[in-house]
Amino acid sequence: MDMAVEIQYLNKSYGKMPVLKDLSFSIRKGEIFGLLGPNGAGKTTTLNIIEGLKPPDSGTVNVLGMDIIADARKVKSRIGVQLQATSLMPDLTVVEQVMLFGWLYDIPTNRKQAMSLLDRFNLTAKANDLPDNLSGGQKQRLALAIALVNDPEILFLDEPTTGLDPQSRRNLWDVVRELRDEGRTIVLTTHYMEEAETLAHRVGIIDAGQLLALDTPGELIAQLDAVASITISDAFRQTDLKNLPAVEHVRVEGGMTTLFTDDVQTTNNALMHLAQQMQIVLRDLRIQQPTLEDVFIQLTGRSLREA
Amino acid sequence: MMTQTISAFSIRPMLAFVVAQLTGQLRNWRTSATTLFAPLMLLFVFTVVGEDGEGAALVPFVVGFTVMFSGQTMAQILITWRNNRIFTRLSATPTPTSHLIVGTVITQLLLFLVQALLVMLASLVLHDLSFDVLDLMAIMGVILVGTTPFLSYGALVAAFVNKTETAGIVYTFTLIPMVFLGGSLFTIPGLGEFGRYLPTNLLTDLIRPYFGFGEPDAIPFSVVLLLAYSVVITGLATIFFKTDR
Ligand SMILES: Nc1ncnc2c1ncn2[C@@H]1O[C@H](COP(=O)(O)OP(=O)(O)O)[C@@H](O)[C@H]1O
Ligand SMILES: [Mg+2]
Repeated sequence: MDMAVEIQYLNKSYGKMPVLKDLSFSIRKGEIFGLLGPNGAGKTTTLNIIEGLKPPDSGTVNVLGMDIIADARKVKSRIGVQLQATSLMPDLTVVEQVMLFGWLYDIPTNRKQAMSLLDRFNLTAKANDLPDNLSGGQKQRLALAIALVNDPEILFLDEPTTGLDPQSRRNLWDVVRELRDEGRTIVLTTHYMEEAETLAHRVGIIDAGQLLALDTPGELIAQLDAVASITISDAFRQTDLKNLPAVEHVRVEGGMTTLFTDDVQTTNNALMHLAQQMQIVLRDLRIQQPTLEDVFIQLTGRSLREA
Repeated sequence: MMTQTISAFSIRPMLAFVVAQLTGQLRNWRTSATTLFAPLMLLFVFTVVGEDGEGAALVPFVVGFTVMFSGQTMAQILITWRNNRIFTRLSATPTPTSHLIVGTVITQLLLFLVQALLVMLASLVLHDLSFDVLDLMAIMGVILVGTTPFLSYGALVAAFVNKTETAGIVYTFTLIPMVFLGGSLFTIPGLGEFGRYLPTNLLTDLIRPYFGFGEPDAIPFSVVLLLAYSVVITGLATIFFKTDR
């Protein structure tokens, strides 16, 4: 399989503090790769090294078959970058920023070309505004538009949805999926586990500069010992519930019954069937699947939020 | 969109960066006007309070003063960009950072040329001085040579200072003593030859003859020395200035 990015034994320290410790992983061409970890885990540092913005202390980074140190300019011309903090020229309008960045890739970019890029991100109405007059979501979209001026093969997005409202976040997810459907490789960092889970094909979990796990969200969760649970409010006979397929145990607590199962689908189907037989109307049915959050807890002993 | 070829050296990105900065400056005309009018004010005040002829003697100093403070603006621009991670973002493009810095220097040089021209035009009106075209071109050349070490010095200050306010203070409080030591304004007895070779003094010495004070005999020497200052200070700034921290 062709790799978009290969990093090997990456180490980086700030002063005496090690930030990345022997980090190694590969990103496949055409996938959406998520780097998931709490604040301070080293996500931004990793991305910046891959993008050629910072040198590693040791280790190698290969992007599209090229060494990032030896071929920095060639690599930079083929990747698109969105930084964690949107860094825009304060006195240039939205359309002027896009034009400037086009030229910085040595691509003659006129106003019309810049406008068509802005159109794609619903920024046409804001084309003549200064960055100060943009909302958070609009700034993110502009940063994304700028990251696309050179039609990059790989797109690096550092916490693209942090600080966005749920609606803007979903819109951005759609855009990211679209960009990957155009054949681009997408590398994004996030500390939102649901973002990694729904958006990424493969997720690398990083904590304290170390890669703890890397797989598809499904596989990461499947490798957990954790089981799913189904909670219902109606009183069945306990023995009936215990005898449902795949149920490991049943807990009754405060009027709610929780079934722990290692196969939600099977247990749930059987539960529906049982309810129909007994003519019980199920209310307040709630299914809880293990999430990447549980994976993180198992790997680190802490939750992603409190880390 | 088109596919790009990365040539080993293209100055188009640098020129685009100059154009972008000038565009931003024009948009920010209030700030630009404030910078522009400070020396004009100075000139005007000197003229009003000075006796006959005294005001005119200060014109070269005001021009020099304008040039000297170009570095403060440079320091503040660099610090703002660094703090706002603009440099980091720009360096994610294939354009080398050195081209961006040179682009910034070119922009500042252009702006200061305009400023110096305005000061000189004002002094023409106020003091009845006269220049011919050759003089004017020579003065432009002198200002270009004279501005570079100060712009570099601004970059050097920016290398060690995190805040624009602090940079302004550091810049001013290192420059003012130099101005006095150099005797650009008046000669301090007993200092001997030392002050003559400070960039501030070299600059005013260079400018003065064009305003009818003194002979332009030491020009080659001053130019060479100023260029030497430029090389040394630019070298130091390149070593110490980091585009992000
Ligand atoms: N320029 C820097 N100087 C010193 N420490 C830094 C610098 N940048 C990041 N760090 C430290 O490195 C660690 C990892 O930071 P970062 O890569 O930004 O993490 P993340 O993006 O996962 O939140 C943090 O502890 C942070 O404080
Ligand atoms: Mg980060």
